[in-house]
Amino acid sequence: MTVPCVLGVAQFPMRTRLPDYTYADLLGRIAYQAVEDSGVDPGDLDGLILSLPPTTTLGVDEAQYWGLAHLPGSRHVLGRVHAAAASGLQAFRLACAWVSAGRARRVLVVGADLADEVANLAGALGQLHDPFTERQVVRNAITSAAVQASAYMAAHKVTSLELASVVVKNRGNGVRNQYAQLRQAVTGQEVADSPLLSWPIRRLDCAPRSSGAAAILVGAEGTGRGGRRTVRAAGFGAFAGARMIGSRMVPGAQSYLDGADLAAAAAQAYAVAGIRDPRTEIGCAELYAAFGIIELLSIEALGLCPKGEAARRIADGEFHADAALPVNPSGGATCGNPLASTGLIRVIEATLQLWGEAGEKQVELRQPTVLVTAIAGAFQSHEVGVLAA
Amino acid sequence: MNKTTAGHDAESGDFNFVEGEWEVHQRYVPSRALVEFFGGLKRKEILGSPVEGTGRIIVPPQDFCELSYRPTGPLVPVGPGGTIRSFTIVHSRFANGPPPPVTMVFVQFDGADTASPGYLQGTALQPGTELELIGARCRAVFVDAPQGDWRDFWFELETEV
Repeated sequence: MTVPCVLGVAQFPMRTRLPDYTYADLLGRIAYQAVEDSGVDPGDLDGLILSLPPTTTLGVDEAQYWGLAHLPGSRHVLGRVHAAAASGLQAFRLACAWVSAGRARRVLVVGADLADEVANLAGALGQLHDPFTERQVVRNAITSAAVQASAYMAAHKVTSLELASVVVKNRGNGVRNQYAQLRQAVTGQEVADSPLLSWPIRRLDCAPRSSGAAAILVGAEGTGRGGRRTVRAAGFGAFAGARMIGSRMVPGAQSYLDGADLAAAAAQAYAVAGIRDPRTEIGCAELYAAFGIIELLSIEALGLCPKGEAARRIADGEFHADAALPVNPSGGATCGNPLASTGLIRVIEATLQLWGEAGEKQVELRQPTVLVTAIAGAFQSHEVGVLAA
Repeated sequence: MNKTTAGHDAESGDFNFVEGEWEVHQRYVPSRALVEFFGGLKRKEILGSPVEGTGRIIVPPQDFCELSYRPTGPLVPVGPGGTIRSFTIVHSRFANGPPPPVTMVFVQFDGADTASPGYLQGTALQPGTELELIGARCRAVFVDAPQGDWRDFWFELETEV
């Protein structure tokens, strides 16, 4: 079995608006950058996967027909992944599977977003839920996260300021990330004083609305330009959660409130990667978290600290960039969250750390192993990956 | 995209956008279990689907259980009392929602193994007491003339928090 490796990466600076590009142009620009980064000839790709979540934000149905044909690898298209914010990591996992199985030697994964061309994301993404029941109440990503945050605060006696510690950490990290959309640090008090959207979630708790793009070339070891440490995809896990979030918030079945579905995905990834104690065997983590509560639940579900302790540990300095196990040294989705590429960006940031090419955001890796996640829907798609050098 | 219009910059006159709008009307067709469920609401009854072999009761009803992968059987009544499992107080205006602030709760009806969303009414929460809602007892209260719609009922606390 071939071990899939990251051969090349590229990401575009995340911004609210990228006015100089159409979707197709942005996709092409980032795709060719990643191939160039790998040193591979664009004609030598034999696979292409497009990360493309709901296209209502682009205002173009089936946008792959606009953006795909001119990309390297387009003679060997393997498919489009459509899983909201999990699309990028899911697409990367599938690309690795093709390489691993020997069905392709080099597969390009690419995604792009122009999020500000639609009047508001609530309208564009407002059709996510069951139209007969859940959509009859006021449900969106913010209210869904707020339901998790309320339960977490009650179960673990966590305060709003402790909850804000995630955003404070990530916004501080984002200052050092030249690709980040939000590069200003904030204090816990500023988070607590920002407008209340859905108690206890405030405006500064939320990821921004982002445009951006990212691409990764995956291939067998030795098929890139060389000169870099080999970054292997060491293991993956995936779990599809309940269709109704209320199905998983009762005693005995609480995965919506405690992250057990993500833990199930992590167990698969750890088993494949041979990780027995993630607290000591993981050097760094790039975790998808559009809201602070998602990062808290993720840290705990991934086994990086005991249940209910993540917020206080972050407030005490744990999981910061200079800690033993940094979480989101890039600033994470807190500082920029383009849906099609956010999962790819987690992999890119992990790879840059392992290559030692993360620049100002480079952290000292206790272990050459980085954890990546993506979560989408209302805590429904869960993707976990382990990258190792 | 049914309508598009070319746009020009107000000052320079340069072409710089195309304005468009989606026009998609949808008529969602319910499953038989949902037809029965909404029929129950018209009689002021909450119905759930029991999973064959395990007894798990899913509200609102589904044809299959996502935990055991087994089919569900004829619907059974649950509630109207229940326990709040989580909540949020929504401060944003939603096109399909009541004026903010509105308290959205997830309630596990008595006899059910899932929690269902709805609005909590008739309670003025004091700041700092919000989290006391979790675990609080409540009950479904119906409008006088239910139409067979999720909005036929709301929740009220059995005792104030």
